[in-house]
Amino acid sequence: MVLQPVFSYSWPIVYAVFALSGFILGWAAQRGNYCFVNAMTSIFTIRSFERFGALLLLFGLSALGAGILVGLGIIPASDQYYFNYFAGWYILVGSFIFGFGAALAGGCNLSMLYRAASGYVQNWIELFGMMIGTYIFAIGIWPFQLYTMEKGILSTTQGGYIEYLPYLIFHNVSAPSVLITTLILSIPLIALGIYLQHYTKRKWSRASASFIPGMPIKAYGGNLPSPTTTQPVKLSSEVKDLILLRKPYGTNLTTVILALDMLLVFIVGAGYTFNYLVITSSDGGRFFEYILMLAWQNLFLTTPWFNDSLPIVDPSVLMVVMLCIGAFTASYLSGDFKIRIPREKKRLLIGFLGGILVGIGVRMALGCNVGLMWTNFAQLGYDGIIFLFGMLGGVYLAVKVQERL
Amino acid sequence: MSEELKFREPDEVLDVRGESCPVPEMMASKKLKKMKAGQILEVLTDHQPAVDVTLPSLCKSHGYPFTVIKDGDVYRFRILKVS
Amino acid sequence: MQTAYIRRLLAPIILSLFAIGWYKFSEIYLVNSDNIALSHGNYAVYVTPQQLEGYLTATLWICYFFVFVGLSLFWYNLVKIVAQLENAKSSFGIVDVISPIVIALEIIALFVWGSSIINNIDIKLAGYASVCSCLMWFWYSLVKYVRVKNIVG
Repeated sequence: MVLQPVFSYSWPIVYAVFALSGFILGWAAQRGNYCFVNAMTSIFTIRSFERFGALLLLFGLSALGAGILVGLGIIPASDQYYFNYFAGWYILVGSFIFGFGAALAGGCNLSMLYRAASGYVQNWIELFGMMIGTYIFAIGIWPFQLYTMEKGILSTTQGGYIEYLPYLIFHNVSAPSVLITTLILSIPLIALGIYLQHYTKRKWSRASASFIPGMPIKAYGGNLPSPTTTQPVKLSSEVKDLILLRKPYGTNLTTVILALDMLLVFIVGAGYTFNYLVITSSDGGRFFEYILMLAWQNLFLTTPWFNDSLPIVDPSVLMVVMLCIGAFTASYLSGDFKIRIPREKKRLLIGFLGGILVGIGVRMALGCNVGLMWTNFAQLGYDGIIFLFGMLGGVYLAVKVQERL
Repeated sequence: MSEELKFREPDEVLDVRGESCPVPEMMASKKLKKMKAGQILEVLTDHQPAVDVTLPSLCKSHGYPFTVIKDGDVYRFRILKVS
Repeated sequence: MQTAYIRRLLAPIILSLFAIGWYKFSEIYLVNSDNIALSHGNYAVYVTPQQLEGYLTATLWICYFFVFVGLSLFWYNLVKIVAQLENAKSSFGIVDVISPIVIALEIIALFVWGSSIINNIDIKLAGYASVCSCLMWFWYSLVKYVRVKNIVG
């Protein structure tokens, strides 16, 4: 089966739109401090489901948007499932390793990049560790993993429509089956996301209401609104503050922007390329390859995985570069850009080791929290669900380890 | 209470400058567990989201009062551990 | 305060240099590697010429844009910092405002009339950067001229 472009435009336009989407991704994530790892660690450290609820909202909105586009016939179903991954043991194991490493190092793949671009040296070290981890995976693990994928050992041997939920449920990829599956997947995710956010907010309201009466309100929270001070905020001044970068973006606003960004590349890239947001092929794999190219070494000539999985360039390269530039621009214009080095130098070593685990984990899992987990919800697959649980497990273990370090 | 938080010397100081989430709240949570009720923890951070979101969430989850003092580029996030 | 000034001035220059560096790297190394992949018959890695040209074209547009953005941010911050630092009044005439525009027009004329000779992208990028610098210099001069007039008048 060969991909057929849905809309007709030239390759520079495809690359430019992916670059723009990367810029939007970096900008919005930086302004909203959007971190998948932080959303999960919050569950275990401060018992807050607010950000995790936002993640579920993100997955639900992406699935809903992509599913409706396919269900209405605007985008062919083949462009939704074409790049569906093989499912197997490696997704669960890889996501666990990724979650553990990312929580140790201090950021998922998305937050690693935007924080690195905002001047956090810890995340530069994590990024470098990730490149090393990718190389370790390529020479030490990929040959074995590829063998299990080819032989179907605890693995499917084919991706595509085999892992497409409409096909699994209805045994066809017609518009009604896609639409029904979209609603089955997205509505519960959106509902659960909203419920978890409200549950957390109600919990905080009860906690502050049970405070000793007569206690001055500002003793409880510095500049944050307390339950009894309910001054309505003018929308126009709120919008002005957001545009002038005086205030960060709220979690839900960032969620909506990111979901729309995913749909942008889903539409524009349909039939041309992997039409979803993807990071780690470039930052972990290609950038390491590019660094060695400066020394006229070409990894694809000699190294497994690099020689069969990674084209020299694709639209995700510009997406990742522009993600960094978008994040840098946002942090610079808001006055947040600064070179930041952790006071405890052991944190740099932890970041490096965590980065290595991130590199190994994402390559085993065939992608990261963005390129596999989030993307797979938009693809109406089930690998994203496996990844979610694996990552949660890894993050939980990392939180426990950090408490003892 | 807010004056006490602002003017009393902190009993413990946690310097997490240069770190980003989730490290400030994880380190603060770990430190608070070892402290006694009535003591003040001061967290030094330059990570804005920690000051805006995660450290306040940590305080709210335990019901600890807090206040924020801006000192140049650094925030002094003071938490009073109450029983 | 000093490190903040250096940060505000250096960071956009580094952005511009990075944009140029990325384009040059792509033009030289990625094209070379693609040819090596083709010569070794590695079609999993090889990228078709249309796609590679598309990547290079998009990267060039982005490079131009961010050179302009970087220089703009640099000049804007330089004006702000100088305005904060300088206290003395100085005489400042219309000639100081006009001169950067004249220089910019001279550079543009050079490239338009010499376009058959100046094909090299590096020289074109340098010329583009110079024109942008002059435009920003003009803006600074205009603001200063208006301020001086206000003070004197």
